[in-house]
Amino acid sequence: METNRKSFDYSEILNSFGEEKIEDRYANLYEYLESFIKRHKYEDKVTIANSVLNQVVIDYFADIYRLKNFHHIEAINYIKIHAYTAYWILRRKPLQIIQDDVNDVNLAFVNEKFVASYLIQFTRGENDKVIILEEERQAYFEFVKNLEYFLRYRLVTPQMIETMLEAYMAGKAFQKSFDYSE
Amino acid sequence: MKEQNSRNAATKFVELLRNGQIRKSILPNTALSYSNCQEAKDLRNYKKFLQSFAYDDLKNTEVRTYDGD
Repeated sequence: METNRKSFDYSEILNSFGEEKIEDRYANLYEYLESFIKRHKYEDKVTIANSVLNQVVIDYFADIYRLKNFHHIEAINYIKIHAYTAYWILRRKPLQIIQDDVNDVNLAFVNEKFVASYLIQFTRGENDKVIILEEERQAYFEFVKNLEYFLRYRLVTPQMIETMLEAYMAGKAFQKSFDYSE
Repeated sequence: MKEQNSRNAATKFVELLRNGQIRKSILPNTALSYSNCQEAKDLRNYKKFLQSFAYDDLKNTEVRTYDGD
């Protein structure tokens, strides 16, 4: 039986989100990854595999497309966007090693490290001036370490990341309310 | 008898579905569109974060040692 190839392309995704949106998201993600490489001075060691990033972006939009259709959602919320993006980067791993360095253990987990930085920035939001109090550093860094462990070794789903981010935001809301009531 | 029970239950199930008595639990639908402008702002914030003192600490954070938790 001849396959109708047309029905297996991603034209539905393109029509649903628009080329501009998809292109902008791709370019933005590329810049995220590029700035991460520079910050870690990985220019000679790590590259962005465009073929993999292509897949990250299409898998993300395909996931969101299904979700939107099933739940009749007009616009996906901010947390979900970050959770699903993080998940697909983690799953596909667009950062690829081009020059190995056995002394750099983090290199093996470069994608996980990127996702951790992406999620931590999301939790910080606009609060770029916040310095963690000395007495709270341990608790905060335990969270960071745990997050890195989770991203490296545990079974991760977009829903888990989403719930983690929701919990973080709820914690912030609780703390703000607590401070206000004091 | 057993077969009749299963058939009755299945018929009842389809009836409930048809009448809309089993409903989807839908996600809240109140999000704003993730505009290009917001997306660009997030990227700027991320780049700023990477250059911050806060990231100096995080950059070299070791992974938590598994302690059976």
